[in-house]
Formats: sequence, structure tokens, C-alpha cells
Amino acid sequence: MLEPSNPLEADSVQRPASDLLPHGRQVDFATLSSPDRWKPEFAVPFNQRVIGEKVLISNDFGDWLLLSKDEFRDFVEGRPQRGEPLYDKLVRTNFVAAEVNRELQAMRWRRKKEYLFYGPTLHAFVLTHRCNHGCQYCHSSIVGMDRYDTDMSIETARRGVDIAFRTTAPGMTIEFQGGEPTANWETLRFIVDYAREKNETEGKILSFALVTNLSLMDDEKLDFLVDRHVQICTSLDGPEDLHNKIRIFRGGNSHATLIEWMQRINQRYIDLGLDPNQYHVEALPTITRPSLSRWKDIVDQFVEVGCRAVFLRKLDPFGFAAKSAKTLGYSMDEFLEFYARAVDYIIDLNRQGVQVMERHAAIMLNKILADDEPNYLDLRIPGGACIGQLGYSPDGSIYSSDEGRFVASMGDDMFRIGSVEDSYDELMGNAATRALVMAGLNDGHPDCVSCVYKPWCGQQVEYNYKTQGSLHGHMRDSTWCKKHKSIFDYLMHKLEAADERDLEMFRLWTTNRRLDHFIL
Amino acid sequence: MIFPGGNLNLMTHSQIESIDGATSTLILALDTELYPRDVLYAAAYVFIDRAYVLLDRQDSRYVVRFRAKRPIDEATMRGMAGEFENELLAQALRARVAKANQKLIEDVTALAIGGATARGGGAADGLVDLDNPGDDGFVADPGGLGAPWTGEKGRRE
Repeated sequence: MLEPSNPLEADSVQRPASDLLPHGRQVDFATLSSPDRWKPEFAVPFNQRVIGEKVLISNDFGDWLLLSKDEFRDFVEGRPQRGEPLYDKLVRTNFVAAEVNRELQAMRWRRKKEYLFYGPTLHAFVLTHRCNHGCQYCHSSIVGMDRYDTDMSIETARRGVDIAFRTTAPGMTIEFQGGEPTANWETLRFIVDYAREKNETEGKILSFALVTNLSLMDDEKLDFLVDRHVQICTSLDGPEDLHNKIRIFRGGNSHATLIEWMQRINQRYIDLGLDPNQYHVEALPTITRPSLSRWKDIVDQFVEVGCRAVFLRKLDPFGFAAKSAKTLGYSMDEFLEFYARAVDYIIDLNRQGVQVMERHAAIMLNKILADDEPNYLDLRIPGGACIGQLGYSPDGSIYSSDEGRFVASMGDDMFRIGSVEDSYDELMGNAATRALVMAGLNDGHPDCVSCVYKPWCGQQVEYNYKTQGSLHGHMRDSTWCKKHKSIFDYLMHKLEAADERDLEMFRLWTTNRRLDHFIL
Repeated sequence: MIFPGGNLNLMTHSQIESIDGATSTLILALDTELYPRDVLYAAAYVFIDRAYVLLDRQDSRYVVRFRAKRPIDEATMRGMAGEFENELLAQALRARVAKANQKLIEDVTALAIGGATARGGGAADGLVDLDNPGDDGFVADPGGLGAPWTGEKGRRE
């Protein structure tokens, strides 16, 4: 077996997680039903997992049921008869092979797999490697603020935008990243205005997103961003002491600067008559070792600054994050315990009337409860590499994704699929792209094909490659699998135990309101 | 501790051949007629995070050797044997259901893709029949992807 290449993962696979995260398990067939009683022709292909006192079954259409063990035995043995409650329940959820409406399911499949029929929607432009922060976990190969040679030129940006517009997708988002992207303001302005002008003839559903630490923000920049409907996102790791400990800003107090600008920007949205519940600066935390005991403080901080969603992201194995693993890293079990404590707290806040959700959970519940496909690139099949997103580097290199670029910043160009000099067709059709897409299919993974969470899960080939040395990975040893399976288990146990009030809360988390103000 | 292989004609499930606490090694055997090979592979795969798994065949039995990656006691190894048997059943059920009704899933997928590509939406349209691929691009290999990268007699081209 390959040793994990990243010390972050070293001890994370085998240790059991805390009781906070109840795990599913295999059905005990030996005591449930014997093979001579099975009636395999009764059921559509399904997978199963014990959740608490119930057996969860799911099928490839994305339907699921929590059955009692007796119901599950009857199902496996093909006993339910028309007119019986169990039979009706199984028919409604498309588990009875003889009753499946193929045309209806084909339409449903198409709706949820719509992304297969068009090209990448997310185009991440790294405008510079320069940054004025020295965040201990930074993914990118950041350089000092005087290294103007790492800026994306106007000409490279123009070619990049031209390629992005070749996507066959009806909608596209141009995202600005760095380094600190506002450090290369001239190119940012150019891309926004050039893309808007280009879109007058292209007619895409176009949006922009800026990922910034806000430290270089000023009134002139804000006026431009607000005027051009650029959505602003930032990094907020928690309360001031925690944030500033990790996100080191030699030019001042990172947290104070950030909060001040978040408030000012949010006020601008209010002044424009926009609903602050929908329109506000989105912030993302990165969870480090010092964060693990601060789950409550982190959630409270997000609620305090007006965020309605907290995306509890594990430190990933790319860039500086890998180098600083000893001081910032933790095992997957430690993260999952943190996650459960934080989401338990979020659920408690909801019960007290506070509107806040956890983003992983919301994405998964969207798929499970709302039968929706939010096109979250890390949890879809195939994964988002190349056909869901492209990463544009300042030198004009194009990568499979953000993560592909992070791997490159560690000296490995494995995920470079071309450059702005290539045509869109060459980028989408080359051997590397095809290999990455093929590797991102769950149907090619031995564990995934028999996993009850397969309809809602996904792959990230860059993560597989970085942690296990293979694009395909092996899920039995994978911390990617462990993380997502554990969160699915956590949510399924919550759903199994949920009363009507909690179910309504989880449904609310699945409500997606399009941010029309940011769509051109 | 060594267990006799037993009468294979009476074998209805996997049996423990031996357990060696000193090396955390467990050896199981099962009649080749009990489960298809794919089911055996799938069940064995479930253990690769905990053990090195070696599959072998001796006459009419499969022999499955587990060596735990970390030291474990005999009780845990016996638990693994039970878990393996259970996993064989789960994978066998899955394989039988898939064999019976996998075509339904394929039909739905083909309908969805066929409709999207405006090729008529027939259930089998657009899919290569791997058992009978015929004379289409799959076999023609216009990109030369299937061509060997070594020349005749193993000489690198």
C-alpha cells in the first residue's frame, strides 16, 4: 500500500471517530436472510447501510428509504404485494423494478446530470502570486508584493477570457484569485470590462466572484465592484485572536480590516435595496489545529458578521498547507469530531430561531431531500476537473482546477492541460482531460459502486493524486471517502432521528435563492 | 491454531483455515462454487485498509489470506472472518440484483443521453456493446490509443 504522501493524512484512516459521529455499518445478512430466499428480480439495483435501527437503501436514481430490518428482509425477499404500504412506499421511491417508469426517470436523470451536456462553468483566474498576507496554510505559491513579474498580463487575461467564453455552458462564472487578486487591479478591471463587453454578443449568463482578503480594498475599488455586480468573498477563520494567529498580516490587523470592510460592503448592498439575508460578503473559514476547540466561537463569529452559511473546510493537502502540517494539521477523525460539534451547535441555533447552515451539509441535503444537483464540483460524477472548471495561471497555463494549480505550485505540472495559446477544443479534447474525467467517475471505483451514498457523492482526482499517488485513488484507504461518508452518515442519523421541526429546518437549508443581482 | 479444511462437499460458507496471533494472520477457505469470483474480489477489497489480502486458488477452493497491517488479537481476527462472510453475502446480493435489473438502469441512462443528443433516444443508441463492439470508432481506434508502444519483438519504437 502506498503510504499517504501527506502527513496530514498519516493517522487518519483507521482510528474510530467520536461517538458524536455515529457510523453506518453493513447489514448483518447472516441473521437476516439466506440467499435461497432472495428475489433479486424484484428490486432495481440498490445499495444498503445500517443507520441506527434502520436500513438505508438507495438506488442510482437518487431515491432512498430508511426501512426497518423486517421491511428490508421482505424487500430483499421480494415479498411486498401491491396494495400493501411497504410496496407502495417502494414504488414511490422507484425500488420495484417492474414499476419503474423509464421515460420519467430518464427526464429526471437529465435534469440532475445537466452539467454533462455542457462545458466548464467556473473559470478561476489567478491574477497574481503577490500577496500581503502570510497565511500559514496558504495553498498558493505566494510571493512578496514587489514581485510584479508574477502578475497576469492584460494580453494573457484577454486570451483567457476568450477561451472561457468558448465554453458550451449557457452560464459561466469568472472568479478572481491570487495571491491577493486586488493587487493586480488593472488586470482585474480589464477582465471584468472585457468580459461584459464580450457578453453583449455572446449572451451568456455571466457572473463574477472576487476572493480577497479585503486588505487592499478602497472606496474606488468598491465602487467599481459594486457597479459591475462583482460578488465579493473573503476568508474569515473565526474570532480575532484565532484569525490573526493564522492569517498573518504585517501591514496591520487582518481581522479588524476584514470586519470593517465586510460591514461597509454589506451596508452598500442594503443601500442598493438588496436583502441582507441574501446579499452580503460571503466568508469561508479554513479549519486548522487551533480551530478544533473553537467550533462554537467560529460559528458565532459567522453569525455575528451576517453570514448565513459556514463552510467548514478541512485543511487540504496542497501548497503551504502540506508544509505546515505539523503545526496546523490534524487527523481526519479530529476534523470530523470538530465538524459534528459545530453542526450540532448550528442545529441548536436553528432551533432557537437563528438562520445559519453548514455548507457541506446543505449541499448533501440538497441532493438527498430536494432531489437537486447543485453542481458542487467536488461532489458530482464525474468530478469537476476540466469539464466543470478551469484554472488560469498568471503565466497563461491552464489547469484542471484550482487544486490542479495548487499541485503545480508544489512543483508538479500533472494537472496542466494546456495554455491560453491553445484552443478550447484542444483543451477539452486532449488526452489529459479525458484521463482526468475518466478518473473522476465513481462507477470506476470498487468501493463506490457498492456505497449507499453513491448517488450523491463524488471524486476529486487532484486530491486522490496528492494523497494516494493515483488519480483514481483507492477509496477504502482514502480520507476523502472517510470525510464524505462520515458526514453522510452523520446527516442520515440526524434524518433518521428528526422530528417534523428538524426536518423542516433541514429542508430550509436546501432552499436555493438565485442571487440575481450578481448575474448579468 | 490450525483448523482442518473440512469436507469441501459440505462447505456452505467460508471456513477458518488458520489463525496466527503472532503475525496477525488469518487464512480462510471457501468452495469456488459458493460465490462468483467478482463477489470474492469485492468482499476482499473491503478489508484492504486493515489488512494485506492475498487471494489464491487451490483446487476447488479459494484461499484468502489476511495479514493485519497493525497487530490484532485472535478475537478480532475471528470477527474479521465473520465480517468477510457477511460481506460475501452482501456483495452476492448486489451482484444478483444487478444481473437481474442492471439493464433497466442502462435503459434509463441511454434514454436520457439519447434525448439530449437528439439521436432519437432509443435505449441502446450511442452505447457500444462491449460484447459485440462491431465496426465503429470504438474498434477503429482513430486516435491510435490502443496501439502498442513497443514494436515487434519488444523493441521500443
